[in-house]
Amino acid sequence: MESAKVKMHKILEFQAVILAAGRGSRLPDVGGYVSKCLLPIGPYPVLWYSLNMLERIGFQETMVVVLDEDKSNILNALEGYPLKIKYELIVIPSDEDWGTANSLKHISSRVTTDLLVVSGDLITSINLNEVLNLHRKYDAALTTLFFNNGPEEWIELPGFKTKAKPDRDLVCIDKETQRLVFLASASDFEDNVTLPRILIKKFDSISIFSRLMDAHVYVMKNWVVDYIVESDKFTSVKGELIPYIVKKQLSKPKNALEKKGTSEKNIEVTKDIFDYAIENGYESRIRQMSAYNDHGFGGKGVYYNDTLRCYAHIPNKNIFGIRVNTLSSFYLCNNKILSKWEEITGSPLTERFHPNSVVKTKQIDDSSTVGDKTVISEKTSIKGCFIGANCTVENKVRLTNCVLMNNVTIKESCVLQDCVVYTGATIDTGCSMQFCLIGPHHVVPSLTTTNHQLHAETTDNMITLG
Amino acid sequence: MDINKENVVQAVVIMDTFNNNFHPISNNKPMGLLAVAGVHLIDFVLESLALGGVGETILFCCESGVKIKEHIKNCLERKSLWTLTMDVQVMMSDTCQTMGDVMRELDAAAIIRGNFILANVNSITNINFAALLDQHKQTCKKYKGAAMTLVYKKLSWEHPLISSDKPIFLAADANTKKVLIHQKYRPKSAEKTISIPLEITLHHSEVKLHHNLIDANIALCSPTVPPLFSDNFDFQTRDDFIHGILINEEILASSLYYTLLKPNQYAATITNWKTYQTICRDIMHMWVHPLSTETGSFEQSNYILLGNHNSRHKSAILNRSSKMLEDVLIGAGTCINDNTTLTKSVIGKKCVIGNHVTIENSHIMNNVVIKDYCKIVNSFIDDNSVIGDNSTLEGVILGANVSVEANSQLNGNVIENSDHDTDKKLLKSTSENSTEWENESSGYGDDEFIGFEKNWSDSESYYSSASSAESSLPNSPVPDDTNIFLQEVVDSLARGYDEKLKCDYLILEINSSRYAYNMQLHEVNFFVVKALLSIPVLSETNNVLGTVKDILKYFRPVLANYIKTKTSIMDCLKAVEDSCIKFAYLEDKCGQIVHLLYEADVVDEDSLLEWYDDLMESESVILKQPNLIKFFEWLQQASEESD
Repeated sequence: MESAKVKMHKILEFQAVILAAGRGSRLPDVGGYVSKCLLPIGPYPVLWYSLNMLERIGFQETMVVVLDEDKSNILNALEGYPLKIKYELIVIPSDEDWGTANSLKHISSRVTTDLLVVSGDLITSINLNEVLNLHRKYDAALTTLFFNNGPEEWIELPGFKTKAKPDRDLVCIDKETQRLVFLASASDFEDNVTLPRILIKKFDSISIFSRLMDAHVYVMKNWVVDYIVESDKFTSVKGELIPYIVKKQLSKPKNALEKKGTSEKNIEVTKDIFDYAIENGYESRIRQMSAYNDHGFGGKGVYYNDTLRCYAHIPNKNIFGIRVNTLSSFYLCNNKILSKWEEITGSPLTERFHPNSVVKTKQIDDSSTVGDKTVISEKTSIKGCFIGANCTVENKVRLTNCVLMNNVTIKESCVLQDCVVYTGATIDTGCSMQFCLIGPHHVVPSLTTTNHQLHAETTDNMITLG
Repeated sequence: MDINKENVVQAVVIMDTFNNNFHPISNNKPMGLLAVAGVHLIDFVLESLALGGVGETILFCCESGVKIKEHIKNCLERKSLWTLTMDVQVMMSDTCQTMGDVMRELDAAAIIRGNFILANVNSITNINFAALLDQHKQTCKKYKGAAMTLVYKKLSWEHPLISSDKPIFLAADANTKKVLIHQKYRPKSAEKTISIPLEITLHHSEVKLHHNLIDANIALCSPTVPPLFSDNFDFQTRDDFIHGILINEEILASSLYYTLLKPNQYAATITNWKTYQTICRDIMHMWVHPLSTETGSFEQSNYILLGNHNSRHKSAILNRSSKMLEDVLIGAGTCINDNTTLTKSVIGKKCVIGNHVTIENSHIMNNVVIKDYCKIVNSFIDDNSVIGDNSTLEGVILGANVSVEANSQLNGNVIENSDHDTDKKLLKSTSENSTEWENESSGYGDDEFIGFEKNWSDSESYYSSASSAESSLPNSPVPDDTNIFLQEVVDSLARGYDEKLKCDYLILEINSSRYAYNMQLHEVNFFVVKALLSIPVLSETNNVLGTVKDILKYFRPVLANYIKTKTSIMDCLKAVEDSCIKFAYLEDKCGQIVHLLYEADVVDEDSLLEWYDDLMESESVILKQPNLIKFFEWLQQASEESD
């Protein structure tokens, strides 16, 4: 892996933080606690990919916000994997329900530059420099990243068949200037979406997108962090902070006179967002002197004279990007990871079988990986499976497109297809399972034959849904 | 049929605009013969079609077809450039009242062979029609049911062509260019938001939103368009058609697409005096190249350029002491005398302009005589008129053959020479319309070229500005949709009140008018209340308040149907405000009317107080009515007591 490394420039103007304290509320309840950031995608846990992505574009260190209870697990899990980037785990209490903005507030004292916020569940092949460059180019207050990968591919998922539709974002972007001008959730509206008319007058080539996927990658000016701390009214970055800033773009700062008027009355003046978005240098003068303009029509100055600007980057359609926050994305991602491996991680996958693993069978294909200290017996057939650490696969087992987490035991003569087996589960002899989820530390009795089931501790072993 | 004929590009030009925007000039002159920058509109249209690759054009005239035919004959004799490559056929029908009728007539005549171009006589453009039609054919191949491709030009929001016309809001699928929403706004509409059905945004991954478009009034049509008009007799205008297709897409199995013109292509429509002026200037500034001030004539290079966009015809005579500041065009044989100053104006052929005359922002047609010491600002003067010495004309529209006496002071008049006797007829006098014209005069201050037109199109935007609201009076000269709608509602209610009809039926009637004129809900609320307060009985009775009380009582169900929500209550109060300012018989009765509404539970206290705040903020003149102040004092007292 080292040989493939290209020399990177150190990035000094941005600090990075990975938010990995999510609880995976959109993932199915499999009875028992599963850390979302440690779900296996191919041979590595999800969090590794975010760290790797930052490392690849030249970050030498990053902060990672994690839940208190996950900290030791994460440290253990990441230990064995190839990573050069220094990461500092910052814990937030597990028993309190902190939002992402709370997390940013928590780390605010360490933030001295503009901040790159990355979600800990992102797996993508994009070069994040594209986003950073967009931020630099327009001197943005906030820059976001959306993937336009078309409708999510439909694949048959393990577990119950559900028809839950994911909530969609409505995103308005001006194609000419790449400004992000409107952001809301489709569920906020009933029949009609209401947009300010001035928006469509002001920007010339607005498109409203409904099928973009927010990568939850944000580049924000340093003052935005200060604003989060001092205004103290945001819980979630995605749900509250970003829509607020995007909306505020249309406002004008109150002029000094009005402010003076209120302060004279001895009313404490609350600072609004425009008091933070101050340009300190010569930016505005340079803009006045320059002939550059970011839009073609009309008599307005560059950036329509806005001081608060949000931008959105939409990469090419062939750039892979997915957030592992639902069962379908988890499963789809595992399905794709090996075929996109080099695009995503920037280096080939050299050892598919961990040096400490024992693989006795010859019937294991190139699209499978095996983790540390796992033992796979003879006479097994394994296709397209990711097998974690400390697993045992006994004789005469056939596994197709399965994900086995750590400490899993598959007893003799089992046939598993498209199943996800969580940590510590055991499947007794002679089972035949298709599209099933097996919860952590659950024991499936021998000779079970099922499909599309959830087998977990909290349930009465099995729930059947029509 | 000859094989070549199949490939000939066909165009249909509708020679009428079916509106009164150019009244009274359009009364005795077909729209096609209106001169823009010294050239007849029809010459521009034919030339642009010929240059755009059209091989066969059908001119459809509903009025004055004979004059057009004559003109075409002349063109053929003079061998205008287009005659080399294009066949022109003139169709006439006296029975057609709308664009829809024209399309039905065309369908019946069965002369359309395939895809065709539909243009209007007032479209000024230099686009390549044939290429656009090819593009439309591709669209038809790709998407079944593509009926029409609309042609738009993107401009800045601040552009005068957008602000002086009805702005269009268009939403379309970004990938297929299929039109999803098409909505026209009133000029200078104050609406703050735009609603888009959620379904539309969710069904299409990317929806383009356009608001800064001008409609070139050009459409590329599939052969299915004329039959669609025949099948749907309620399609009267192109907007009806667009609206109908968008609503009944499934039933009619048709859909609309749009295309945007390239930045180097020009397209605009002359819809009112304001756009007339803007486009005139664009032609003089050569934006529409190859169309120019010499379009239509066989000889070229007749004009001498004098700098600052001034040009004069070779045969024009300019006195040495006359001054031309900028953007002046002087036609053949015109004579400009001593110490005369011209700026931003077009002077036609064989005019005589006297000494010490000032002409600004004006359009003067042929054979006009302007005597000494006149001042002409923001005016349009048609053929053969004579202006006497020392007259001042501001914002005046003068029909053909009118003579203005010496020392006249005209401001904002529309004067036409009636056919029967040679006396001039004053269509509009300053006294009637003082407010409307006052509004214009404020536009003189800035040296914007469009100053003059500002005056004329304000009549369309009265909903947003109270000052120009005069035109909503029943005998308004420019009946736009809102006026007609208001009139219909007033008629319905008056009849209902006289004949004691059931309110349910009246609601039905109002609603059908609403859909016919595509009114927004809040406009309906506004106009229903306004209509209630303008029922003719009110202006006739001696006991106005008693009658108002009676009317409100009778129409309580109607009110209940429309005035339900908070916003509708505000609409209602706005209508009261508007009516009380405007109608003399309601003068100084605002307080009582509001009180009646309050007692009838139509409006609630909170809304009233909010409205009061709004009034204070906007410093409405209505606050000068003492009884209203009294009412609010009472209301506040009452509310304090109840607390």
